Amino acid sequence: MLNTIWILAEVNDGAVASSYYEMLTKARAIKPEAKITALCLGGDNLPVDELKGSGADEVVCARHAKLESYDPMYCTAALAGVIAAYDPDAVLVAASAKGSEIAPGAAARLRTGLAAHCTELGVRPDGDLAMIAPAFGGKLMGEYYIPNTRPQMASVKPGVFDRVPQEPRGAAVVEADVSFLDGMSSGVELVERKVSEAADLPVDKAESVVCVGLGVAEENIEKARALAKKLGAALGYTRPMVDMGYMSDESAMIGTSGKTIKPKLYIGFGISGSNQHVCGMKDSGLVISVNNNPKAEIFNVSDYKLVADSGKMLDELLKAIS
Amino acid sequence: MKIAVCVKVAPNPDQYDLIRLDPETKTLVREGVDSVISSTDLHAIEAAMQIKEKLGGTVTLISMGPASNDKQLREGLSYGCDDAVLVSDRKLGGADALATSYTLAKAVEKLGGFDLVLLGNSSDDGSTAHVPSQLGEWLNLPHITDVISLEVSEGGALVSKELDGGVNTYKITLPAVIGVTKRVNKVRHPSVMGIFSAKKKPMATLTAADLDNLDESRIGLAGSPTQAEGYHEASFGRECVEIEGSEAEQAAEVVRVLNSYLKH
Repeated sequence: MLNTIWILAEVNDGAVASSYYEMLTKARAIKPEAKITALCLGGDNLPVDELKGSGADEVVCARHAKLESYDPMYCTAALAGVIAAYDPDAVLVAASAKGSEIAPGAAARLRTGLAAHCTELGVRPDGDLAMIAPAFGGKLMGEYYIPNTRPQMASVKPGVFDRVPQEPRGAAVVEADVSFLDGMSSGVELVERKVSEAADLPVDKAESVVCVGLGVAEENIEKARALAKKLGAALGYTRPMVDMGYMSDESAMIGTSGKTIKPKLYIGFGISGSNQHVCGMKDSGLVISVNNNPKAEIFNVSDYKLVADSGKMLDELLKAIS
Repeated sequence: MKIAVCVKVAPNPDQYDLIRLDPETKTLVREGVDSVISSTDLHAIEAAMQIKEKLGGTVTLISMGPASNDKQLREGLSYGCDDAVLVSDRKLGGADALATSYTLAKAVEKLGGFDLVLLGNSSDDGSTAHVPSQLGEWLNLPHITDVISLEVSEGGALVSKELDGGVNTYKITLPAVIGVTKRVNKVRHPSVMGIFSAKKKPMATLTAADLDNLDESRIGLAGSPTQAEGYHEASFGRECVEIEGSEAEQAAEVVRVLNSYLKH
């Protein structure tokens, strides 16, 4: 059954995250007649008006002082507690840093299933939710379902589904009871938050992306950055670049465990083409790849390939592009 | 400090090319693929060893899987851990993340007395990243995942994680369950002594019957709410045109392709 679908709407800097609209678009598409509820956790300032006009049928607010700043324990308890009280057929949560942390704990509390990092959703012949997600680093796609427990929970990769504006539906606003948080002590306390310098051009919003992998020597990363600047592109990178310490954070990391991008143009340097990376960039428009290994997997998902040294090719491109 | 590290033995990611689907049954064929301790779990072991070196104590490896995984657990012990416990029973096979975390929780409770439970944030194969927080929920302990830095003292742990364009640092009271990423440390190779002494370290096996108050409806495939319908090969192939010539010629051709593409 898939008559009631709840979507956890993440709020970043007071605005509803794009992932909510992507999940709403997909949920509406796969089950137009379902009642869709937007669930929002936080303190006093929730973006209720934005959610009311988003195309959901209902908005449920869970407000508590303990939900003001992100604490995984309180958020997990709130998510599970509210869902248990309303008992929807399915719950969609963004596979973001927060969603990926609180959805599993909530599923454990609810004793129900959860499919991770879904890249496609559908309706099974029996009416239940079909959840498609990469497995073995994206080598295979698995189809998952949750036959015997409710709700059916899925975490959904942000940036994969299109976001199509929906007609407002005059959504009712419900204030959920989360007073069970009053007496709870999480054992987790936020002691510091350091905001990273925001990128001028976030990699998942850029029309062009220059991407670097381990085949790019550390001293050539700046050349790739310069090329990106010349092209008005964002600089992206693979997971190993972060794991090896060449990149300081995951903000522009492309792949199943990072950002999913769909730029018009993707130019990759020194990228082997692991499934884990390819899953995050396969829907790009034009894909051009440079690698000194003629058999690099990335060439299988590229429109153009250049078998060349990444550093030398960056030099030449910097010269050739005015 | 008494530390448990939960590890998963999984197919070697370097050999994923050998994994295929049986064209008839659509089931996974993993013949010839080695099993190794999942790569992020090695960072959890390293983190535990660094804490042990600083504060003293013991490090116990806990893993659920077939009896043949004792080989990989021995390798795990060579990093300096004190002992290993393999939770192994036919009844436990086919477990999803929830059933796995439930079973691990029962093993952690059975062994008892841990100040800290560490795990790799996600495994190489399934990569759901569900087990750390679910284990924390079953054990009713504070939990945090995706940790990029970890500093443990007797009273608690300071952990950092990336969140919404920044880094949050949390203080977490012990005992707790913490899922670490590969960024938390660099894994040191086992020493010759470590490899040698691993052979003599205690390794126990627990069966389902050894776990106290085990609800058998929550273990194995039958106890797994998330079921796999099947798999298909991911195919994102494109027809690829090679741009050849000297590097200068290649660059000129790329510029031509870009100009013609970006005009449309």
